[in-house]
Amino acid sequence: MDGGTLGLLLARAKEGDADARNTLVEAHRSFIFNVVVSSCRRMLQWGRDDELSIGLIAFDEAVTRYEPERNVPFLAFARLVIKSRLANYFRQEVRRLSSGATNISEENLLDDTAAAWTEFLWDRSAQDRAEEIQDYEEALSEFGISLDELVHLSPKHRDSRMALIGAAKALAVENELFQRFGRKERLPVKKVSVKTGLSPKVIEKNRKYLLALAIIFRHPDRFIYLNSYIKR
Amino acid sequence: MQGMLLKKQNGTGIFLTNDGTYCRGTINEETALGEEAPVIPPRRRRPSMWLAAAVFTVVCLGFGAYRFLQPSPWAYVAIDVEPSVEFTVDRGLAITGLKGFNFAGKKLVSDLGDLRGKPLDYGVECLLEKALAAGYLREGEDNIVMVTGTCGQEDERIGVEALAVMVADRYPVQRGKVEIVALCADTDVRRQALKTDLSSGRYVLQQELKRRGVNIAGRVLREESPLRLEKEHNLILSAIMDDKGWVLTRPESSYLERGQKPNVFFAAPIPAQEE
Repeated sequence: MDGGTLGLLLARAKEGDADARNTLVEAHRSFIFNVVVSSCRRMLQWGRDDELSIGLIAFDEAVTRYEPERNVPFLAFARLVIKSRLANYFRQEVRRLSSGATNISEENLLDDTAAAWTEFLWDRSAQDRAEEIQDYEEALSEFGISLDELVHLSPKHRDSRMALIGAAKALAVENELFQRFGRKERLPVKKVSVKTGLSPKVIEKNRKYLLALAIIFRHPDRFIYLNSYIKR
Repeated sequence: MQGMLLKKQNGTGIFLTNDGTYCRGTINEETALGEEAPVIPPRRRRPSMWLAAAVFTVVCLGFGAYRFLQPSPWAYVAIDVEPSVEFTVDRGLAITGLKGFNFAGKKLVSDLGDLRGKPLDYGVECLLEKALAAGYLREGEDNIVMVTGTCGQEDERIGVEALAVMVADRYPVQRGKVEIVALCADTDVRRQALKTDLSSGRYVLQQELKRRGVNIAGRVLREESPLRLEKEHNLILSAIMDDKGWVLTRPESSYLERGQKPNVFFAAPIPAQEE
């Protein structure tokens, strides 16, 4: 879903359009799934695990509480809300298991202080963003790329960069190519050339730069801030 | 330009701009990772030792090339009115140096300013005009201009005829007679002249006078005008210089009658004055 459609649906959903809200939730089921799984660190299944339901509810809550003027991408905010709700759920579960009974609902408690909680989430977004950047640097290092060398490898001409951004997006969806990257094999320049439309010479010259961008585009749920920042 | 801060490093940071540039810039300490901030290019680091060495090498080579390209003196042309001045010229007869031998000559050189790169005939014209303005040449009176060329190799442009024509063409005085004495002196003569701090022309004159038993103090010979030397010592310069076959030039008639600059007249060898 592109940024324009997302913004439109969000606006309509906030105004009470139930269809827009449902469309948003349905379109982001895989996003919700990925966020919840990464928090739980185990495989989950729709309809079986409560965590996924909590994730869906949290996403819906994120739609309600989202404020575009805060300059935080919606998905980043939604991820924060989901993680926060899951954390509350886990704490609640631990207490229930240790005391043998359910005490005051954490959710109800949070509902009482909703404004403060929302503000906390917005503040938390800065830390979330920093964590994402550190995660990106680690992801680059797995491919033997450092940010310092990317400074020198960035093409000087804007047209070249735009062409490579387009090529990186095309490369990002190619599982086989990415797996070969993961195995640290040599980049199949000819194949990439066919997929991206760039000449083999350009690809070979900008190999690391192309890969650095492709990593961002390949993981839109993981690198939400970076994805939303780079011009599409 | 704005960018998202990706990494902090000792007051600078690595940014990613929204058009896909990874670049380095200075950062505010308060800027957090992932935050958008203006990208200000960091100050340039001090030149490395390699850069300093490269600059040093280029400078050295530059000086070497400069010395290689600097044309060596091709010829020397001395002009003696009262001021005694010598032009150094390159192969293209462009002035590369100017030297005054006597007090008047040194003053005139300082008044002429920098003539380097200018053609020789232009320099001679400037010199003669300055000499006229300073009163060393006078309208309506007789004047003598000695011009002496020295060239290591044969060059017609530095020959006596060419030099005489050049001075005559550039001569600024409209009224009165002028005698242009054009000489050639070889490099050995010029070398000897320099030792006695005389122009080549005055040195040749000194040698001729000595040969004829006339002794004039070096200081007098250096500072006086040729015309005054003629008058005070009862000499005829053209006659003195003639016996070596050097060309003497002088006007056929007065300039006033012609109403123009004098044509150069190449005199036949003038018999030596009987003593």
